[in-house]
Amino acid sequence: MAAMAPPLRRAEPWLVALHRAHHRDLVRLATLLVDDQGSAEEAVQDAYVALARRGPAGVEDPEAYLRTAVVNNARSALRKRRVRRNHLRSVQRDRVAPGADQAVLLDEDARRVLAALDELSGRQREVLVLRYWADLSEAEIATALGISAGSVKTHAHRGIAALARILEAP
Amino acid sequence: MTDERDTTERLRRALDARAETIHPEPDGLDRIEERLMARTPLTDAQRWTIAGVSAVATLLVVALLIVAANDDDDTDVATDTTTSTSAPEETTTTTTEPPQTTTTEPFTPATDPFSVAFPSPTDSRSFEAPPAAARAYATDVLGFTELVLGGPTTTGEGAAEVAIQDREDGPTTLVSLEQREDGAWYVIGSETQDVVVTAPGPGTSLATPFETTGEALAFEGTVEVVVLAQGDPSPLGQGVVTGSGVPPAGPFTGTVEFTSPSEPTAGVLVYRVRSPEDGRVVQATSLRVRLTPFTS
Repeated sequence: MAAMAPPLRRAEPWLVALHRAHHRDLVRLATLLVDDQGSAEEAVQDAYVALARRGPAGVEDPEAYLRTAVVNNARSALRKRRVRRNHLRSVQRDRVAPGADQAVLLDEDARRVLAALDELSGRQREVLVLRYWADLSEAEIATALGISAGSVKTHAHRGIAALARILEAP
Repeated sequence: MTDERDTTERLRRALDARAETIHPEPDGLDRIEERLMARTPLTDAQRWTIAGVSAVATLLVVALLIVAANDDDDTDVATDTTTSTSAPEETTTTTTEPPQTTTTEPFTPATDPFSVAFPSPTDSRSFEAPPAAARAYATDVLGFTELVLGGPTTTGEGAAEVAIQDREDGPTTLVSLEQREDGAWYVIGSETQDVVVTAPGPGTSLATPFETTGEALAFEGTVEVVVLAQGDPSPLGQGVVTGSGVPPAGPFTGTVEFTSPSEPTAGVLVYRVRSPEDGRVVQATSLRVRLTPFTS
């Protein structure tokens, strides 16, 4: 008698198809949220593994499930990083803005806007990335973040207003 | 409204431009499959079933041994007594061994080796508390020869940190740990405020050679970079990067080479700062990585 449950087989075709369709965008979404591609890749892998363990019939909307899981995993990664850095009194901030190697690929305005986005709260940043990069509706964002559609609207409005103020400053 | 529309358009353009610079690692599906093929934890129903069958088997074996002992004559009493006396241990041994001896599948660890820095999930050591794991990591991986250990700090559910120093008033290195499904504590990495690594990030796939960047403050700005395979203290590669020798910390950039593995291997990058007096390690930042074969 085997001591453990049999291991899952290699990724089923349905999972491979989902991976092919959504992996690149999910990694980009996670990286926009945590600005560390290594952590972002792991957040996405965690989401796929969790989905695979539920099986193809275990989730009604696999794409929405993956997106929610990625956002949650990214938030956890950021939280852990902040705890460690607060303990070390590090001055390095969590950022959406790119590192030096990617900065050369962006124009001046893009760099300014991304730096301004870094100044916003975590929730406002999440809402704006999901709204203006992932092009999700308010209802879809509400589902992904586990908040009401009204809260999504409020965070989006305040986030854009804050962004505009920062960009107007000399 | 015009301002808001202008801001949203600028935001869209900036996010799109940034996203275009992000290219996922090509082995993402491979990593997912590796984790799916790791040993799956038992459900509660399965545990109860195994426990119940084991209990029945134990009772049957004990009953048979008792019957066998009662059927023997006096000349065999000593042997029987010995046998009877040792029966509980034998029974226990017999009960616990069959699941291992009858399984034909090779052992696969419950913890993905690429998700932790130490110990290797196939290591015989298993740490039940963060301080013990942090101590072993500090000596076996980070290279500390003198060690002052702080108490663990809980940083979240199943997560903790342990502060270590080379002496009472020495700089602090924070060792980060997580408790995994098997109940054991694993080291995820370590950080010190005098060495901040911006690239590569934890979990990154690395082939030789690779570039590393960050900021450092150390004697003469010197930071030793060591590439280790998980569970092996012999370096696969080493290099030196130079930050700043006086405050504040200064940027560093360096290229590190290492002996290429034949297949993807869990590894650790260690950034060591040494004492100018005796060369002992005084602080170390470390992160887990995935070492990949060299491809031309």
